[in-house]
Amino acid sequence: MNVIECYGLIGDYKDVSSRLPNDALIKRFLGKFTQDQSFGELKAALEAEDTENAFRAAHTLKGVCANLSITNLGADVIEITEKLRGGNLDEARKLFPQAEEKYRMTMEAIAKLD
Amino acid sequence: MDDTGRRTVLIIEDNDINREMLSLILENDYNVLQAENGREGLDILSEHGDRISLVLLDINMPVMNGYEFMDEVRSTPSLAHVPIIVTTSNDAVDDEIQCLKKGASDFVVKPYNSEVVRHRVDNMIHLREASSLIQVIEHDMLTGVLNREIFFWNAERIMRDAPDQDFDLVCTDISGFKFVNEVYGKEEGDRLLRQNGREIAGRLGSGEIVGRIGGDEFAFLVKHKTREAHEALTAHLNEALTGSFGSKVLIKTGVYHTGTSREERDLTAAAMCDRARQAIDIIKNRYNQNCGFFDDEMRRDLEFEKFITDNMEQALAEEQFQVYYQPKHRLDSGLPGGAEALVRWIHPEKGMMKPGLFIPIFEANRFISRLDYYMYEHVCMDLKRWKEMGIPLVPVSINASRHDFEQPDYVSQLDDLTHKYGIDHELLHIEVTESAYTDNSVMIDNCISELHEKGFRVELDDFGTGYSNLVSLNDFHFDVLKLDMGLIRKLGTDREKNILDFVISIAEWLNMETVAEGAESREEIETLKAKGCTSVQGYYYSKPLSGKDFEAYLKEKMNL
Repeated sequence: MNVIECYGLIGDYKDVSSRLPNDALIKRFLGKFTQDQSFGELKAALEAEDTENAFRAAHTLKGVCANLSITNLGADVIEITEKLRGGNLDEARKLFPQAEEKYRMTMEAIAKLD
Repeated sequence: MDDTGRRTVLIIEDNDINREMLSLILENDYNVLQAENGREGLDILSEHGDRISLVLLDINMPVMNGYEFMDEVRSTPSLAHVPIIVTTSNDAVDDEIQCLKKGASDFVVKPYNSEVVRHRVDNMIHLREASSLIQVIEHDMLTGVLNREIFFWNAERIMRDAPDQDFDLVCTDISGFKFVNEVYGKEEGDRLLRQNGREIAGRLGSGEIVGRIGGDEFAFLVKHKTREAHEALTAHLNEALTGSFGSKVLIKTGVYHTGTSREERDLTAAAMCDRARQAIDIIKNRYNQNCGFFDDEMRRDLEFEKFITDNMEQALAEEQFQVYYQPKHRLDSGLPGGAEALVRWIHPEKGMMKPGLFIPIFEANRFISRLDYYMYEHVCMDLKRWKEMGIPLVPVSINASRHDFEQPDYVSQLDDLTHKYGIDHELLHIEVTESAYTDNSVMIDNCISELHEKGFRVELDDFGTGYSNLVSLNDFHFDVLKLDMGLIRKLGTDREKNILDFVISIAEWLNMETVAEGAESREEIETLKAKGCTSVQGYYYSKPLSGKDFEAYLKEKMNL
């Protein structure tokens, strides 16, 4: 799978390519994304009912998704971030499984890159 | 800027994807330094502060977040000038306001648009570098503190931004500064100025400023402090700066407490400064007081002055000023031989005001010349009326201010007035005070000659109160010499007689008449008469009278 096909599954290729001038670079950044801790931190904080850290992790993840134009996952993360900003932990937890599914799909797509 | 002309930016961001991406956007144009949290960023900034042109800062970070970082930077003077652009997700206005409050200059929003990021960074660096040029222009070249205009401008802005905060505007004046320049040299004087600026600046809190507003004058604006605190600062300045010059050099400070009332806060900073200066003037010659405060008495004086200046035009238009006449009696005949015209201000609310209250103010704002002209005209009108009534006329003397003589057409105006009312010139005497002619003797001398040519007579008022000298008596051709008995009386009986003898014989010798003002007792009158004094003006004969009363007085004394 090439970068364009990958973005067909996870987000907006045109948008990311305005920020990262070539596919090799995009690939490098997607590689970094698979190492990024924010998603894991969000999950752990939600489980520990730690609203503050959950918000911080969600907020970071939201920024990363935006910068890498991973819009599918990003849309869910934006919602979760807003719930957490308002201190609404339960709502955020309700939304999380859907985000987790999208995160899994995103990781899968990146893994399939040539 | 490095050797190649590239500027350096510092990115502080904990997430390495975001950080790398920013770095990637900027690395073609800038040297990029990176830090993973505020603490690390602060260390880098402290170490390379002078070559970092801008900081890009994330807010949510472990160890030290963006807010804490900004607090640290803004409270460190050597770093406070570095512009900070905050990277946000553009999702919370409150956070952005918070960032601006803490001193952020701008934002860039995630997801980053490469062009936007580059332009914002470029623009901010240019703006800051341009304004650091302004910084140089805004500061006094010698001392590095703010210059006069910028100090006033900033002081007003600071006070406007904190309407509920009490401030003190303080002026310092280095008395004896000329002495330092002359005796120790200009370099030493410059050093003293620099040190003064530095000592004051070192004592300022945040949001407080100092400027050099004149040669050896500084002004600073601080949050309101106790008298003791101001006195302590003044003592400190003197201890630190002037001790080595001996007692000839002293730093004096004047404090103006702004208060928070609308009226006071509407004053310009320059006007506040004038008030602080007034406080210095009061203590200028006090040996053991170096710090003065603008107090209620000075405030009342100013309010009164404002009342006078606000009302003077209307008073003139409505003829609230009235001419009073104090008779002068000839000692040979005992009959009225003249009068001095004195002004009274009959204010509709304040009642009668004596000239001592308002003349000094008119002297200062030059309104005096308008009032003097008014007096000349009203005296002419009275004389004309009396002439028509068949009352024997006596010469009337009118006080002239030194400002009158500065008007090129002064004498011709007088001439025109007397023609208009048909008054003989010898009936108008002009009284000049000694201090007027010592100030600008050439001009006054010319004026006296001109007055003489036109046939007016000139009296020298208050002889003996100023810097009387016999040479000027000879040089200026006065027709009448007026003596202040109140002053002569203070000399004590023996010397009093000697001085009287002396002055009266000089007057005789120079062909001048003498008028003794303020003679009070029969005994004094007899003494004056015996010594050959021409006339007496004072309560012994009469107090100053209104025009109507003087008219009746003349009729009675002249046996009409």
